Amino acid sequence: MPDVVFASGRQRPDTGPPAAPAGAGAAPPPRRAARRVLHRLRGALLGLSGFCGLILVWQLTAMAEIVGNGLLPTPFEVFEVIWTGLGNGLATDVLISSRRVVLWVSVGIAAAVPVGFLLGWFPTVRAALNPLVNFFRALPPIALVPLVIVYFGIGELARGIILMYAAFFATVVIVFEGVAGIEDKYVRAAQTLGATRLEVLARVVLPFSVPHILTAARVSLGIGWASLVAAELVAAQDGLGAVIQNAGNFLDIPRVYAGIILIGFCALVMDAVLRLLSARLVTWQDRGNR
Amino acid sequence: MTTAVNTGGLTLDGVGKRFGRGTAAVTVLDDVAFDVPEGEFVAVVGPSGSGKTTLLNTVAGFVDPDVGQILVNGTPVTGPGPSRCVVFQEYAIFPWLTVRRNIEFGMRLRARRRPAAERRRIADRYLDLMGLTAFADALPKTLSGGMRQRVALARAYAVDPEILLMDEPFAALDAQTRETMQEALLEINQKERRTVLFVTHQVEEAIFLADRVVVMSARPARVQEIVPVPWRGPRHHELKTTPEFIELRRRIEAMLRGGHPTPEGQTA
Repeated sequence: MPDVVFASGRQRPDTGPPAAPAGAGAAPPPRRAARRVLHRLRGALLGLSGFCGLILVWQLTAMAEIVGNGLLPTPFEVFEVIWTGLGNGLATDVLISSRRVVLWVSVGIAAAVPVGFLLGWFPTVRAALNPLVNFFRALPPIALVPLVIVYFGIGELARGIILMYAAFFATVVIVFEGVAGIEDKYVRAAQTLGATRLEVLARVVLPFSVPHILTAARVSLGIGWASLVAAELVAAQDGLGAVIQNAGNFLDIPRVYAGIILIGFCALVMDAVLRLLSARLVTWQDRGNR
Repeated sequence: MTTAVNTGGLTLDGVGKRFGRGTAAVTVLDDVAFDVPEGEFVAVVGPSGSGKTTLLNTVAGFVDPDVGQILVNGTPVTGPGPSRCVVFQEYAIFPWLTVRRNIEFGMRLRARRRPAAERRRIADRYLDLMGLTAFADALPKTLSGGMRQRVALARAYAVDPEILLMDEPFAALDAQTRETMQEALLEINQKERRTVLFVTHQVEEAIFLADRVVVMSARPARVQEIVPVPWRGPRHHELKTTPEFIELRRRIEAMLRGGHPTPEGQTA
């Protein structure tokens, strides 16, 4: 059997644990594992270097008082605000905003996945609803704030609806593109093995779209954080969006920066967690050398 | 030793298919008629683009013929189903399932569902026959092209279809792997005699594998001639270099060239 070989070079070293085939030895050789650690370390250092560069430029700009009429705080001042603030109520704001984003973005995704399936699987539904989806997707969530206040009041629900709205349309589009992009050969193979239409949907289309759903979750979380300030414009007393607005009202610029940085940081951490999760969940994808 | 398996006969009765309308219409299949008796391996050869795949797709039920009908054990074909399982040229095994789960796929569907223990036993058998046992828990992305087609073959056999349809299953493989796969197919077919319709553009492959070779003409595809293959029993690759084999191959290749009508306007 000369063709009993693994296709070499197909597995990227950093796409999570490789599927260890039975009888092919479970653990990768130590040298390869070491190289993978080095590869990751290098990636992390490169990612960090971007931030370091930015902070350096920021520090120099603030010291030279090039922009902002002396209202540009130095990175050190901002980090001091974050450091003392976290022990002094700011941590609660971080938690409240995180919970808000995770909860309502999840609701938006849960509502959007079935709709995305309908659009991807039935061409008629797609033709009927696609323009509508793209219409609503283009609307900035902040533009909805006055209407949401009028119809839903100024409670938690009103803030949630803005986050949900943002997540919903992003997810619908990604899921339906994923479902519509399933290769015909898989559908035909399933049919010829005896699958009914429903079985094709459950056993082929659904597993095929799991990576797309995870991508949608990542994108939606990002959009959720991006819409947070708009959501917390709705009479929020707490949360990072409220912190930024209140600080802005008092011209407390270092605190505005602190809020912005914390939002970005939270989004970054959540994205990293989801990326890790999706590498664990979707080991089957052949990501090539992208 | 042969194992008792599901088999059936296939009849193509005046099958015709056109694509397009009016003056732009192209006749792809024209009055195609032949039988594949139970347990026989029939290969269909024709020039590239002659409608071989369309022919196979009509038998599979993916395409409805305009005229004529296709019968499996006397019952007309109305759509795709596990009585006519297809092995495709492209690697169509499911990338999210392990080798074993791919092979069990059909046996988990309502149409050919089997209890877990039996499913496992059948999967084990085809893993073994296809030399895949060591790769049962591997994901397709780690397998070579030849291995993927072994999984596709095993998956098709495992649903115990009346007819196996193969659409140039080895065309994407390199020459050496292709020879190995041809032998693997002959070997499994020795162990369990199934009715097979095998489409290829390679005359050599058709003669080497089949009991009979259906020679098609270029567009529109018609049956030019049905050539019986004289060899019975186990075959090896040395057969391809014997004078009798080469002579038969030349004869069929000449038919394919001679059967090339004027390149255009053949819609009559």
